[in-house]
Amino acid sequence: MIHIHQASKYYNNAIPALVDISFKINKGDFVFITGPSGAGKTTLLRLMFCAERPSSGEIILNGVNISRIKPSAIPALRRSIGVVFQDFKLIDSRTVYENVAFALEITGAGAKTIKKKVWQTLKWVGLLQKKDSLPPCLSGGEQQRVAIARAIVNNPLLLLADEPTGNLDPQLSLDIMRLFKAINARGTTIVVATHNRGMAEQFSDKIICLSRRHSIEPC
Amino acid sequence: MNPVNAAARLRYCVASALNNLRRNLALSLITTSTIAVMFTICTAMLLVLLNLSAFMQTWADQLQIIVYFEMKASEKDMQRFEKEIAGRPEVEQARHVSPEEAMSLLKRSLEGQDGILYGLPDNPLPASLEIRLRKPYLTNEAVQAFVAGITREPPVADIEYGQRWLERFVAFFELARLIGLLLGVFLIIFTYCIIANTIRLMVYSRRDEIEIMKLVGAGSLMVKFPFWLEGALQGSCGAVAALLIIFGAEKLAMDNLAAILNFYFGSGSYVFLTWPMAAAVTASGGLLGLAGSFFAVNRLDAHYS
Repeated sequence: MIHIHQASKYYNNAIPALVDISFKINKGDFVFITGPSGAGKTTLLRLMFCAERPSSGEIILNGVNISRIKPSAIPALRRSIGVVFQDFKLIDSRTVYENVAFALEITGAGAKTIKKKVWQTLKWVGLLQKKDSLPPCLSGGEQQRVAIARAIVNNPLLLLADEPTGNLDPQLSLDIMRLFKAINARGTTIVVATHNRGMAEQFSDKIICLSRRHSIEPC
Repeated sequence: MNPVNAAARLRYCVASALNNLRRNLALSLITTSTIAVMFTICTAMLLVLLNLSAFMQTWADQLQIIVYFEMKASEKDMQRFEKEIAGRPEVEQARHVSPEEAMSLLKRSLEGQDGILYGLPDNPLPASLEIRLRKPYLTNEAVQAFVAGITREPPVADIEYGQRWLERFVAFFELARLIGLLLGVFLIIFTYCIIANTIRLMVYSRRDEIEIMKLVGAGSLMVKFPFWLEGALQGSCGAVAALLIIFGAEKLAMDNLAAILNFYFGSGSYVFLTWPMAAAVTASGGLLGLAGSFFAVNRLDAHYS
């Protein structure tokens, strides 16, 4: 599914963010990337959805070398990847329904398909009754579930989550992790970046640890 | 791309553009009003130039050169001269006006006040030749060249064709055209800047949304197209508003103007906007708006890639 081979990222050609990273993630895996702040977890995820390009090395996603992908091919790639952020990244002026539908509208899906898929997804994450609410009116956990609904409404092959529970209390964090587990059970490969090692150990047996030296260390 | 998908995306872009205009209603209204003012000035200037041009054309169509003969010129000399003039390729018509006919015309033009002519011992008016030129020779330069080719020797006493007036009017027209051109260029640049800056503000106010669009896989065109539409819509609406102002002003205050212009400058000299012109003004507004927004969001990819 994902093969990262000797990937490095330097900012301004001098400041190292990631050095010589190599690992493989198989289809259907539920993988945690852990490490202290500044270890490069977010950078690694950003490389995976082409928000950044590696300075050297290769990233192969589903047989495609995305480290050399043309800029014009990035949107299509991103439609096959769901991304969830710590700060949710929802559009505050749009309702829950509109935020989720948004991911389908840009693909050119028909109105009926959009309605059906958004209803199904919101029902699945338990937010159907809040479909007309605006994000600022929701709790942190609910907002994160909206973000997850938006990320999975397209049935992505891969779901990337960058500190998805960073703004949530322990109970809500557990709820979100259970949701990820359920999504993974449907066949979606999930990569979660978190500094919470305990949570990683609780939910997955595949953990990639990044050290402050920005390289993989045994977990 | 699947045509169904393309239609759905286009629908999304149009809906997005309209929603964004509605959400930023105050800013959109200010921009559209500014464009409307700019286009009103431009269209009014265009109308002034059109009317000046039409007047010049009407005047040129009616232009005639009058050659006055000497009082003692013989019939034979006059006929020889008239034959020579009538044979020139520029001349459409050359009509001899006898002193009697000239006096009769003068009396007619002084209707009611022709008593002032009663004390005259003899007819003081000379015979003359009224010359009309063919269409291609009805320009200032061609008229001057034609007049220069007539020798001011007997039997010719004088030649009259409103030279000074014509020169002044042509100079005034050229000046007005230059001012109109400069004003037009200035207003187009100003309008372009207004639209570009408004779209930049809208881009800035929606930077989070754009970032999210990119994250969920929206292509460059999908992000930019609604902004292009917004610019084009604002430009067209501004131009339409300007046309409504111009049409309204013409209807309300200028009903008598056509009659006044026609009285002073000849019938048919008053020109107003035609429907194709109005369509061209609207299209110009749309294109200007499109250009402003196009360049305003041109660098969006670099910012949000």
